[in-house]
Amino acid sequence: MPHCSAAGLDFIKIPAGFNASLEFLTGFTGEGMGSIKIFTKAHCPKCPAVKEIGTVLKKEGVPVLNYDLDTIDGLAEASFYSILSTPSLIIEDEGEREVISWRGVVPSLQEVKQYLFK
Amino acid sequence: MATVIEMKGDHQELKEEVETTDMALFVRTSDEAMYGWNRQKIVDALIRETYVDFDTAKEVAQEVEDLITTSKIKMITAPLIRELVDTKLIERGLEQARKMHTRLGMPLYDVDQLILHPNKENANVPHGPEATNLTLAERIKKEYALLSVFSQEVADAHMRGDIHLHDLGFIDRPYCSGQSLEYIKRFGLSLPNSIAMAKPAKHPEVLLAHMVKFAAALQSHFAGAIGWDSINLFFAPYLEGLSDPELEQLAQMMIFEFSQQAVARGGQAIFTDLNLYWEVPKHFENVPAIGPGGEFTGKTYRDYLKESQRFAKALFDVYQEGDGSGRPFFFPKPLVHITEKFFQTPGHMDFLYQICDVASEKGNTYFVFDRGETAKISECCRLSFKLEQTDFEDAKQPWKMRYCALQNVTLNLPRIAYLAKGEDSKLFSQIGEFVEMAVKAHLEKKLFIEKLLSLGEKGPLALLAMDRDGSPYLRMRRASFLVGMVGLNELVQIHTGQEMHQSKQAFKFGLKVIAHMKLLVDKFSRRYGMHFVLEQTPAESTAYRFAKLDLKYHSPKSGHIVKGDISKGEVYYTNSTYLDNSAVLNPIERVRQEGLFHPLIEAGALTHIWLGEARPSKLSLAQFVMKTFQLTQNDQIAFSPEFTTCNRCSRTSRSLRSTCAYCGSEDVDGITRITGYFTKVSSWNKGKIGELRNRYRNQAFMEEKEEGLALEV
Repeated sequence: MPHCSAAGLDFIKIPAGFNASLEFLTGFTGEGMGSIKIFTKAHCPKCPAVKEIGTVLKKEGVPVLNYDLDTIDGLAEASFYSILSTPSLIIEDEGEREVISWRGVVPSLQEVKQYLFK
Repeated sequence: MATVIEMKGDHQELKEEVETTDMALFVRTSDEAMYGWNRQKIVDALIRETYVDFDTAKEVAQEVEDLITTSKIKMITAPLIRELVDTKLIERGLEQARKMHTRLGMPLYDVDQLILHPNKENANVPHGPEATNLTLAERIKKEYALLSVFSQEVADAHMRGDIHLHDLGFIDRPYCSGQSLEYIKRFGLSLPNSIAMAKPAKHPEVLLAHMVKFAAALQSHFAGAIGWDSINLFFAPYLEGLSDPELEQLAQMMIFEFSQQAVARGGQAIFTDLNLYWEVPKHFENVPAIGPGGEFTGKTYRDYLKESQRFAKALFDVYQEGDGSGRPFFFPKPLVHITEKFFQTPGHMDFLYQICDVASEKGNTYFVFDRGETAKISECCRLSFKLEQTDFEDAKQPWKMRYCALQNVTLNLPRIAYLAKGEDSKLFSQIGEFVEMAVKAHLEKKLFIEKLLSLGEKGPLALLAMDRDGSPYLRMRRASFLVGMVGLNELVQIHTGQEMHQSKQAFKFGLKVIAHMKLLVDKFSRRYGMHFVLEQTPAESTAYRFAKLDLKYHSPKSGHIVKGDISKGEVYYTNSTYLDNSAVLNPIERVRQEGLFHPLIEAGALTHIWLGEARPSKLSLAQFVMKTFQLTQNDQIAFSPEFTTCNRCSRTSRSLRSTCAYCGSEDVDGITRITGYFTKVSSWNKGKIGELRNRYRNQAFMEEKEEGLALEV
């Protein structure tokens, strides 16, 4: 199984940064510092691997927000970022603009760090 | 049975007479007989219809008789006797018996009004004797549903306007359905109770005739839309060797047959959706094709791409031309599925330009986006089904692919916000209660329909119970139960102080509400083993009804919230999860933002792009459609131009005007999309008129370019 489906739908590829390119997000900038958002579900075989990346980065002082798609807040946040499969990981800048995302796939810790500390 | 009882002679004299049978009261019945007064009939009715004991029934009958004989009235009617009996039941505290003894019907005044004036609850119903019959029947069935099918709790929630039970007047039918043409290609037209049976069609014109008749039969068994899957592909085996003019003729016949009203229920055109594909959908590629005479042709559907594409183009040529006076066809609606494979199939750009041209010129085209491996069947403007694994198995025998939604129940979201008074926890628990009420309503309707279906081909739903391929026509296991919503935008506004387009926080709060609803319907689906799904209710009259009821029950707060013009009574709530119709938003941004809700709304969703009088170029719309497919999650879009048609010179011009652009006549009708279909503005209810006045028509996002007017993307 390459990924788990969120909201009962299949994985749809969204170009990284698309959300950030539109005025809707750019109109509401300046909230907090850059962060990682991790989207997982309970019964998702690859989710623990991404959660682990989150745990490691959190220990290193990176702000990590975990969202469970089986909860209201998790599903709403996932919908906002068009996350349709788990696990997914998004890196955002200080203005909550998406820098890069991995959707329905598990990146390596190295890859995440590469973008995080760019 | 209509009954009139006439009082002859003087009442006082009658009172003195001992035996009631001697009373000069005569009962005139609808079978044109006249019977004398007999209080035993009251006793019989009470024993037959209620659970009261014989002695009580006798006492009630005697008291009613006494009342009548001492009264001064000259004529009494059977409904009045029934009401008098009911009064006596209430005096005894026999509430349940009173309910069971209820007479359904309408006041004389209402019938008078109904015969004289058009019904605006559904703009698709014209005004005439057949339509009046339809409305009268609907009123009785609606009362029946609220008294007898649904529990008091559910009925009261509907009456209060917490929820809306759609199509109560069609309580003995499922809501809407999706068909496969393969069913009539394979089995011919062999319907229960029909006086003639037709073998599978041998010619395309006959197949079309079968399709239209079957659609009419289905319309009398479903409340709403009748959708047809992959219609151009399934017609294709009948089209080999047809010349272009012959094909064009067939396309014209199909559209005119479905658009003209003579065939239909109460003069109401069949709400028909034609699902069209430029490619051969992957799940039909290797399926053996059925051709003339219901025989397998020896080829698979992948071999019929050319005919299928020719037919799709021919249909859009007809749409482009419009009807005899150049007006857009209201029905059948063409839904073109835009898929990954669409863009891999040669000729797709030419076809895209053609359907975009029609979208700009006449507005007919609906663009349905099936991304990734998702395959959908769209049944009406907001109702689609994503095919599951078992459906792909069924696709090998496509006549099995028939689906239905059993009922649609819509939640009044602004009502929830008024009740919550700004408290988050109260709001979310109230949403839970409303969803649970909708689920309860679905369970009750399902039970009722199952009761009717259990009578099989001898019962009232014989057509849906008919078994030609090993399972009943209506496959309950694939039925969906729709939970719709109205006024998410106003819920957010009441609760957060901002409309959804005004801030990211407000927008995200809207997503939280719908996410909560999605998780709830999933939970109920697991609990009951049923398929509860969220739906964007078209809310043609519900958005108006809810706004009116909230003005009544939640004033003064609601006075600041409802959209439209309160002084004119043109009030409404924003439909479903839409952003405010009047908000000035870049159209692609509206499509993207509204599209963020669509993955949560499994039963289908749509974004409107109101064009007003603008006529953007096909190149610009094609670019818009491609961008929507590639960069958003939006399920479906439609571009809606506006027209004025003249009843004097029969010509049609662009934009909504008060006089004809050609002859200056004031006898004109406006035409545009009300919710999921085009119709004349004069038939709209006040709420939708209010919305029409507020619609933002994207004027600021139109720019003149070399190829013509362009819609900004």
